[in-house]
Amino acid sequence: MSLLKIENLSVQFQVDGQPLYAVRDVTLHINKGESVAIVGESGSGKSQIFHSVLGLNSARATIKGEIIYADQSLLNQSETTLNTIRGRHISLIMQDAISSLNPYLKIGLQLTEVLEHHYNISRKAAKPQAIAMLKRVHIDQPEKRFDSYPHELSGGMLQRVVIAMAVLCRPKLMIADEPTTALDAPIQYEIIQLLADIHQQEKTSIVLITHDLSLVSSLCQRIVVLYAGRIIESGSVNDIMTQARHPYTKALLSAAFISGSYRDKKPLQSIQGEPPNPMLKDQGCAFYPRCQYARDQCKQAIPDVYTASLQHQVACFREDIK
Amino acid sequence: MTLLSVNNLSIHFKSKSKHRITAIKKVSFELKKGEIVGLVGESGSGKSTIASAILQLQPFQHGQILWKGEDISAVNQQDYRKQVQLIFQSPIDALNPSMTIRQAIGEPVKNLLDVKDSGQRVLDALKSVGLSEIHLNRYPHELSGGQCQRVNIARAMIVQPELLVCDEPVSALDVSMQAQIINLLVKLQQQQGLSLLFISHDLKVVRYLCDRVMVIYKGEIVESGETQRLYADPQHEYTQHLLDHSGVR
Repeated sequence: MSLLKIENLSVQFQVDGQPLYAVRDVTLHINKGESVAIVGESGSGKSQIFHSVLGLNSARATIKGEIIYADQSLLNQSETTLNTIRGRHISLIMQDAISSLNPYLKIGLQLTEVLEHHYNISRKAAKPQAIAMLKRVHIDQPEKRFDSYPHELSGGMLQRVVIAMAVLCRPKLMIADEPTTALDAPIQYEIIQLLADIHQQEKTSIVLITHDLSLVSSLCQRIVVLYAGRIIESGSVNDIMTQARHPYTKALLSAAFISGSYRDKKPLQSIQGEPPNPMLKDQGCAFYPRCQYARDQCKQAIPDVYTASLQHQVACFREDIK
Repeated sequence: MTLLSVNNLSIHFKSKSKHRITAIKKVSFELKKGEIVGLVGESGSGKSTIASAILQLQPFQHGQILWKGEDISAVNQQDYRKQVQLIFQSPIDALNPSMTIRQAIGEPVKNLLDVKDSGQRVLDALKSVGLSEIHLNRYPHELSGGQCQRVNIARAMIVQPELLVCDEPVSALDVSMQAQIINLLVKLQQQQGLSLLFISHDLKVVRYLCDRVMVIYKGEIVESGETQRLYADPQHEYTQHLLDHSGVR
């Protein structure tokens, strides 16, 4: 059953009087208890989609389409209404933990204020819950850390604190926007394991926004690949990891799973060129200039979606590429 | 030929409360011409402090750093800067936002090579990293992260250094851009016999790129060896931990 429905979402900005197309006609459903990876490069629109869900886009954004959470439309809602949903029903974990915390306030206060706001309880009553949650995300000496300031903790610990904040109200959906990008590899692994653990035990739906396909398989069941503001392929983790069809997805996979050595004289497979200019209206497939399989047709029309298998959908003219 | 020898390097910092913090403990290693050596470890392990010491950006209390057998404090500064160059982690922060790409790449030519007309050299350097004339008059904010990192590489390579110290050069980039930058570093290394000291926490990239790897933990090199051997048969507990949690095995 769908928990969140995003229908025909488009997000545009005005830059020097010209439109910038950040998200172009995206339809995406997140089911109850499901864990979905949204994968794409910088500028592909992956964050903008979910900023639209929480009403966090810049005031200059023009948003079209429909976003429905549990029978309630989230677009054009007042801040008051959105604040009853943010953190309580849908929470957000940002990439850079240190800048999502207030440097002047102790960790404890930043946790308890979430509970005070949503449950109308006193700070004193909220404290044990906050400490229990710090323990839940494997923070050593949670009582001591409760009275620490953000700068006293390492990047990995801060990301755990931010996750604790996001889980405090037991939301139905957690959006993790590049939660591990600023962290060391072993810490990345631990954070993904922690999210997987929360997903399993609390039955929280999770959206993992990332540019790195090598992170997703231990956490997610489904993968959605974005390019230049459009979904170009989606499917189960198995579909994408083992039978990716879109040339862009294939290229992303080989970039994420580096193997071999330069001494074998085999250069790494890279995606040539740069992502397209978001100021241009797309006439054809946005990946066409970088695609080794491109034909004339690809430059003239936006490819329709074809179904490769049950859940597996691909937006590409070259159905013959396997 | 040994280019760089680091002998028994120790670096201490004094904290506000006058505690002495030992950031680097008795680190020794050598780097030969044409070699690519990886330095891996977690945040705070001392990777960048070692790089800074080699670049003479960080004074040290004990030990010695030799460049072609000569103590780096005795080597002519300008010569040393020509031979040893650096690439930082954050490609955009490493460039002056008020300088065009032409100015940024031309600066070391003026400062280190005493060449007045840097025009052709700048263009050649830019082309060697896969950018073109159209980028010359742009500012850093008009380029993507990957393009900025190419500019940083061009800027470092324009003085034809023998050693390039790369401090997490791809960590801030999308994985799709990482491969382009790594292929570029390999190309430059092969064409010019360049040596690289490659600092990273990404063990997948290190496996591909490095001939040898040194693992640093809390300021000490706990294990080092030929890349394939070290990945196949790590001896130190910390190396095993790193490898187990990096998706390389």
